[in-house]
Amino acid sequence: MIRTIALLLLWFPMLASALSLSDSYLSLGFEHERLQGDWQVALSDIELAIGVDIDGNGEISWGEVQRKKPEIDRWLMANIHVQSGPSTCEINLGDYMVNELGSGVFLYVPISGLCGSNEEVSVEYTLLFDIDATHRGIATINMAGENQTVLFSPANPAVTLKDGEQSLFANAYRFLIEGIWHIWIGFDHILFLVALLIPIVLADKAYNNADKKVLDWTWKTPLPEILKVVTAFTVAHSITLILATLGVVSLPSRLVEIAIALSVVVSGLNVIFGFFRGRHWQIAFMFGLVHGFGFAGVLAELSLPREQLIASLLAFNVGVEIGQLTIVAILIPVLTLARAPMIRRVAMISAGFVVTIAGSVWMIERMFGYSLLSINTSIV
Amino acid sequence: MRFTRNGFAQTVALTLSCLFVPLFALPGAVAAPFLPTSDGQVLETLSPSLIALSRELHNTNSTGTRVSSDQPTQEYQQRQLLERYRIALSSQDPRAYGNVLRLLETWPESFEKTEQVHLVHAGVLQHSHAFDAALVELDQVFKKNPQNDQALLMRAQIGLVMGNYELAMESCERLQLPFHPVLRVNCELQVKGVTGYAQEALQTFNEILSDPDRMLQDDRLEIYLSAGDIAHRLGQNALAQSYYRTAVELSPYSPYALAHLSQLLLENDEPGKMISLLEPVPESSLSLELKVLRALAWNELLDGSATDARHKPIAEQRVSQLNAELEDYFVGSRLRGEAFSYKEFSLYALTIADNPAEALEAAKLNWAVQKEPSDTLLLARAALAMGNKELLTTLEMWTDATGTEDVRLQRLFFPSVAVQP
Repeated sequence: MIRTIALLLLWFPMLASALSLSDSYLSLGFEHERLQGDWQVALSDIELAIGVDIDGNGEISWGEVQRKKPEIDRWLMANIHVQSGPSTCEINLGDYMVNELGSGVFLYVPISGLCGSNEEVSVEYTLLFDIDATHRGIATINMAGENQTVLFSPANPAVTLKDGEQSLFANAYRFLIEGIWHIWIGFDHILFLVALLIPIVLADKAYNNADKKVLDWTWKTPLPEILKVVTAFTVAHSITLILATLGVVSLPSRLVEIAIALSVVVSGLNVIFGFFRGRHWQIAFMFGLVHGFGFAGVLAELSLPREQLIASLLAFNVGVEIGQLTIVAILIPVLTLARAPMIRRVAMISAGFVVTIAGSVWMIERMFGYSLLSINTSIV
Repeated sequence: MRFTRNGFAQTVALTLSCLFVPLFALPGAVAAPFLPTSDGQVLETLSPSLIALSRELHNTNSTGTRVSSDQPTQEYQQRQLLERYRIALSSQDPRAYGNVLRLLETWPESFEKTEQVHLVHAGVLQHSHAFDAALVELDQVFKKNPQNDQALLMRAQIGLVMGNYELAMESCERLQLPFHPVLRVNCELQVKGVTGYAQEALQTFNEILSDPDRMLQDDRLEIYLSAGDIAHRLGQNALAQSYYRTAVELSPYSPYALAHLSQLLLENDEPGKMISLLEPVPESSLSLELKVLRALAWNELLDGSATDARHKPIAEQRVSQLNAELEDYFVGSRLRGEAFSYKEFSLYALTIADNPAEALEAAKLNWAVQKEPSDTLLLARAALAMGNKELLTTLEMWTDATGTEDVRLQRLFFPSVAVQP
């Protein structure tokens, strides 16, 4: 036996490229106290689990399926458990039909049942997991008119869903994370913000706005100005993010991308030449409007669910703010250290130079469609 | 804003497509269920592998009689694993692989994991393209036996697929294979064939194949395929076709032999011959790649002038059916959110669905994992279709650095220069 295996191993290159993986398709709908749906299970899978080919001729006939119905029903019922609140749903399996899908011939099993309150539903799915580690149950669960797709696997055999509120929370959480992630990996947004903050923290002198007296510099000194800049940027990009996402205003994405790059160039030059002259928050507001269109573009790519548009939008925006504040919180101590007399001026000019160059390259890329900064160690 | 996160955006897009796919996109919703007309109506003919696996699972022999169950000893467990792996290997049936994986995942702690068990695990992981994990399993084999030829051969194959040619060559050089010396040569020539010595490798293959009787019958398929592949890449299409045809004669249902020959026939503008080639192959033995190539052949046949008016409706019906089946398959597969066949999808998107943007993204994801010449060619074709010159330049630099030779790639890199075979 081992010799046979040894030989087989040598001859087969063994890369998956062939036949369909084992899936079943479960559709459940909850309305009031009723459960309706269907379950489609491949005949091949039923053969492996139950053995439907009674006469062993290598063919499964409709008669054989019918004769095995009680056994198949028991097997299906043993591998699905639906709980509604504290009570278990009573499930009934209807008369079988057959469906031919791209991945094989499936038994079509209607499902009906009675559940308690449908505010919270748990579904446990264990079909075939004891036979095939790669089997998956692909379920569409409809609660309160909203479809949710769930993938059951040996690692995730159960799911608990709540109508409305729960899915709203889960969805909002996801968009919150997307917002944080977007600002962290959006180097152009980060550089713009950094370039605005550098002159504030590294300024030669700080003045009291009321009497224009020079202040003794401590780490707290730039905080009011930073707060103004961050708030202005936030308010501005929130305005355009919301308006663009709701379809009230729209701009060509290429124009927006170029304008964002321009904002980086201008703010980088300001670090070197200081031509904003204390008008940082106004500049942050102006360009913040443009960055908001950029955020809206990303949000559009994330397929915002129509049912929870506002909640998702707000969650994304809050995520952006959290990401932004985290960057500020890290940046200020670092910049404060750079205030040391020997390095302050060098740090400012170097940072301004880097930001300006990066912004310029982005501008050229976006204007002419080149990709100058792609240092591709990996194609993806 | 875009240049650093293409991969991330792709991942997000794929995840979202799984999460937000609307109900109408579910495969189950496309076809309509029906009630069979009689008890005798055959619903499905089971593949030999499924019959064998079913018998294994129900512990019955070929007559359907239940055989006595062995004690769950280490020896029994290993024998069961190897038998089911044999079924998986011979059929490439995902259900059989899934069953083997299930046995491995539930392997009793009290039982030793022998060299064979680690090898099987590595084979299953390799099959599902989890190459790094497969290499870890192979390391376990080498701890027990540094000179395990099977493990060395598998590591060489993984190295070749991943484009890690140092690993591949080092593994080939350590092979002993006293009963299959030609496979050691094949291993080294395969690596040479993608590292700048393709001509030399082909010459050696030609010498070996001038007297095929000197080889063991079982070794021939591999040699003909390797030789055909190099000849194909060097533009010697007649020679490549002759080698591929011999490989198909040796193993009529080998998905690799059929895919190589099909690809060549399509490149030669012979879709009719390609369709005829696949006609005798049972549907259950067709790999996804072959299904895509077959659909492409039918599409080309329909588009070409060869189809006369009488046969056009049949061709149109066939094209429509095959395209719909593939679309259905890819929608269903994407719902899984895992084990997605990026290479085959890319080929489908590029050549059938006329969606070069998706083809390029999928080809990139595929190339991130596997870098065989056919993967590079697919990525280059998708990049060209999208006008991504920068990516083409990157690929050209990569092929220059590795020494990958392929006249088809050269034609893509330098369209105005005539490439001589």
